[in-house]
Amino acid sequence: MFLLKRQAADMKKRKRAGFTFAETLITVALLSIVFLAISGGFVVFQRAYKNITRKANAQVMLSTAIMQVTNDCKNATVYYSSTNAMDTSSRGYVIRYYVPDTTKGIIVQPFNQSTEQPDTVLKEIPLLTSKTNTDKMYTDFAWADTPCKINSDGTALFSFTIYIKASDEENKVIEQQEIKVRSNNKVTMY
Amino acid sequence: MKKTWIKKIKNQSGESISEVLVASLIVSLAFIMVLSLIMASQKMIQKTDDMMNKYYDDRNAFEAGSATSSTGIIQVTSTDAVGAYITQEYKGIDVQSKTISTDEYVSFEKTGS
Repeated sequence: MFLLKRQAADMKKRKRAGFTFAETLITVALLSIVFLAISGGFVVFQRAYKNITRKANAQVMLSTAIMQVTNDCKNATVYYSSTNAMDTSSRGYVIRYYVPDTTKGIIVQPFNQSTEQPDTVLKEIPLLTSKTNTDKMYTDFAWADTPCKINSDGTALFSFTIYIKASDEENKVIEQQEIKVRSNNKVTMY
Repeated sequence: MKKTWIKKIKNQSGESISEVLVASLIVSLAFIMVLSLIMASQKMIQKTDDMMNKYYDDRNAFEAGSATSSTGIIQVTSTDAVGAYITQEYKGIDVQSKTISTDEYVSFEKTGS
């Protein structure tokens, strides 16, 4: 009877004893290692996922921008080499591409060639809508060293490069493509 | 089902080694699956990138008139004054980009490589 009572008292004491300091330390150390491994894996996964989606979005943006600029160049009739402006029937007026900041990307600017200044009557429009400029990326544009070459049949060969850059990664180039477009019409170059 | 879970939670004996092993195996499998998904999408993006580059390079060459020519049959069909179609077939000629007049259209059937 006495033994039974002692055993019960021991069990009660043991139940209230809790963990030793060494056990707690080991548990905390193990938990920290597990937490570090999980968070490290999560960061790698998140970075990989971001890169993949960004690359895919950049490809869509690049194709859309190329399509838009190609359309303008295909329908060009006059090219002004001093200002890199062109008269294109796809717009109905003289335009020039420029990139004012990293939020809007390429802007199609109506241009007054006689004053060599932006047209104040017509409004400038972004090449791609804000919905297409996704994932903190924007389009950039650069004419080639020889932006326009007149072919023997009177048509023009336009050469330019379109870039897709990330504004949150110090304007890192995500995608870029050099493009050559032959106009449908005869082009006069000034 | 609910009873089993409560029993499991209240159980003081802990997990057996086989249970722990199975749990780790499931976690590892899930991790491998996610990893393979990421790798597959990365490969797909790279493939698309390569295809896009090739397409634009070929298109640039075509637009610049420096594309390698291929052999095929070209049909130039034109309407005459009374609206009849006159078809002329050219076999085995080199194909290059060329401007044609508005009352003509060209169809191309590739025969060689």
